[in-house]
Amino acid sequence: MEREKLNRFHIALMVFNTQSGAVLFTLPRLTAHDFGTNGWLMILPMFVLVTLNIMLISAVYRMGRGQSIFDILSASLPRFLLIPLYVLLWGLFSMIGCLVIKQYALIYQMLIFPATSDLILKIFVDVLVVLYITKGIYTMSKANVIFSLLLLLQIPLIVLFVHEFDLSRFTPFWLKEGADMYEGLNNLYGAFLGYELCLFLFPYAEKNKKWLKYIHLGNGITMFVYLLVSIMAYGFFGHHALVHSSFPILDMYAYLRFPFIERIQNFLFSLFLFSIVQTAGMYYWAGQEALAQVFPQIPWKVIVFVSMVATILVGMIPKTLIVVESWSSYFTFVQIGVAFGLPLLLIVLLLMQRRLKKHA
Amino acid sequence: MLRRFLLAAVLILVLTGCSRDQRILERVGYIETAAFDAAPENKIKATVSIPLVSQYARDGKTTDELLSTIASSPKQAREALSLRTSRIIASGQIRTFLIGEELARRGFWSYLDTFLRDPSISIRTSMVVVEGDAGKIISQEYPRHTKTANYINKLLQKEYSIQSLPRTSLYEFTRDYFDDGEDPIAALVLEKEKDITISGIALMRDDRMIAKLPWEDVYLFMLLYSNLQEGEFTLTTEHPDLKAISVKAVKSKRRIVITKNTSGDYEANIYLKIYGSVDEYIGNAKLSTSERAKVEKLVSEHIVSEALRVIKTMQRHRTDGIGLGKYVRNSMSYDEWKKTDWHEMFSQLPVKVHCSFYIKQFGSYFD
Repeated sequence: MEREKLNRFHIALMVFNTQSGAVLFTLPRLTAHDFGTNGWLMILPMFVLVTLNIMLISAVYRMGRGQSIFDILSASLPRFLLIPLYVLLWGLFSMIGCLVIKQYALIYQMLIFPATSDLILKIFVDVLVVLYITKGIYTMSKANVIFSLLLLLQIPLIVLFVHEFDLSRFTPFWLKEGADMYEGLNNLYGAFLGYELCLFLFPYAEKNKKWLKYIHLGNGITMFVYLLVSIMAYGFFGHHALVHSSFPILDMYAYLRFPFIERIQNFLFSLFLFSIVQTAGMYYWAGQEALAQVFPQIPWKVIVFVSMVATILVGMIPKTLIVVESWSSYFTFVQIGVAFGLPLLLIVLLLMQRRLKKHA
Repeated sequence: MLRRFLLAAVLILVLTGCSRDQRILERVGYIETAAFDAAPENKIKATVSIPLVSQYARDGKTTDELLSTIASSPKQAREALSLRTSRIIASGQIRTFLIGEELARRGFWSYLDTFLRDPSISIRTSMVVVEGDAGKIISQEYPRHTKTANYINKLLQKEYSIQSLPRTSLYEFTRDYFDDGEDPIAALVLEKEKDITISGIALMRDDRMIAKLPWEDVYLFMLLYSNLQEGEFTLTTEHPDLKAISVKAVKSKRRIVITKNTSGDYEANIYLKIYGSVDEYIGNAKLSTSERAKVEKLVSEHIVSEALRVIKTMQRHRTDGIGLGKYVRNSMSYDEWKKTDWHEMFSQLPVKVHCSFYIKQFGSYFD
């Protein structure tokens, strides 16, 4: 039976929802704090950089004619080299997934359940994530349509902030008083990460090149949302107030008041659970794909379960939000390396394979 | 089947982990209003009113629980007060912070830290300065009004919504405090015989109250401070054509233009465009005829001269509550702005006000 292929549009939404997550709540502050006045403008060059990276991934697909990256790798490299690589990728992806959940759980704890153990909150999300992944990538892609809609439907709330929005708060100054440019670049690029997992989608996507454009679409939606949210936050708070707000978007939500309900930020923050499930789910899934190459005889659902248990144990080490964020920052740095390095490696291998074929 | 059962069992066990955060209404005391006053040795006197939701309150025997203590910080005060009540004190429902004038003049930013840090405190909480003692106001009952805490809150919310008072919640206050081109403001209230009355606006420099703007001038401040959608104002003059006029449904637009002349001096021009419906008019002109233009001109001129007076007051006190600084900053380079002492510059800045007032309609009386 012909296997069902991932719908292009679903891929776009998967890319969008994997990219965005809890970082949306801190993004305006990150840009203001690290880059300084009008730091939101940095989203644009970052978007261009990400676009270039996606083009690199597309090149792998085109040159390899849709081969799975594992096929490309095993065609040129010996297995004893690949095993550590796969294990590393598995560890990296699973840890990123774990930290995403942990960060969400800690913010949730701060907001709503200050006395409840964050481990319990995290395990709740972990269970959801395991259930989500074990449905398989096709079901994930369909469920994610609803998840994305839950996020995107919050965009019209922006209308409610228009009264408090003031352009004069933007200041005409360009990146003054920034705290740490490099940290900012790392964090902002990290906010875009998630698209690189498309490398693992090759065997599941349709067998033509059209779907590659939809990675750009997903990335475009992300950029649009980031830009919109940041611009609103800069006009709502002004630079200095923004720097001092841990979660500017939560504060903005807190400002909303409807005649029938007040303080809806807790509810809206809970909706982000779905984005977290998608982000973490994709990373665990990609980790599972990598580890399945090392242990092809073990059922893949068992691998997912083992990854989850292993990361829960490691995830218990960082106790505070600030430590989780600094861990995230290191893993982001490595992941940026993978996002550029892996496609480059694959392209080199493909070039070598092509040359060998010619000589043969 | 067994697997599902196991999963359900695990989830039920895990769910009990949340019981620590449960809140039972009768066991929680939600602070509605918190008042802070200056106390000796740089301490503060905190007074909170916690409405009773239990049976007692329904019988009308007791109203709010009222607690007061002297402490070094708001949270320390809360701890001390907690020892005196049978309920868990929660801050999630605070609607108003009352700050005594003495404390306001001393500066109170450091005490605001917890209000910004504690996620349960809403950034919509009103910031109000009390002329006199804040604790005294909430300790008192005002017989012909609703319960005091509720009375103050409703009074402020009403004034905000009809735009006769600028919204001064925690959000606006901190936003303007952090903005280097604007000074924060707070609503000012006063106990008057058997009522509480809004007496004007407290003008601040950083976190210190510097001066009062009486309520008669608040409408002028509103016009200079923001665009109005549904404001109203009444003004009286000596001119026979304009003894009194009351305007409602005021829509106004404020535009600020900063210019720099050849010698490098800055000048601010504030353009006001005001539309409104006349609700009351006492004077010799007939509004249905072309004399209307004369009245419009008189109102415009009156607003210009009065607005300039308000600005002069602010300049004299070196406090920029209307945010002219943002516009001056935005016309400067970064280095120039950093070298500028804005409060000093503001006090010397030439400001011009231009106003055009238009009567949209003059009601059901035809003259």
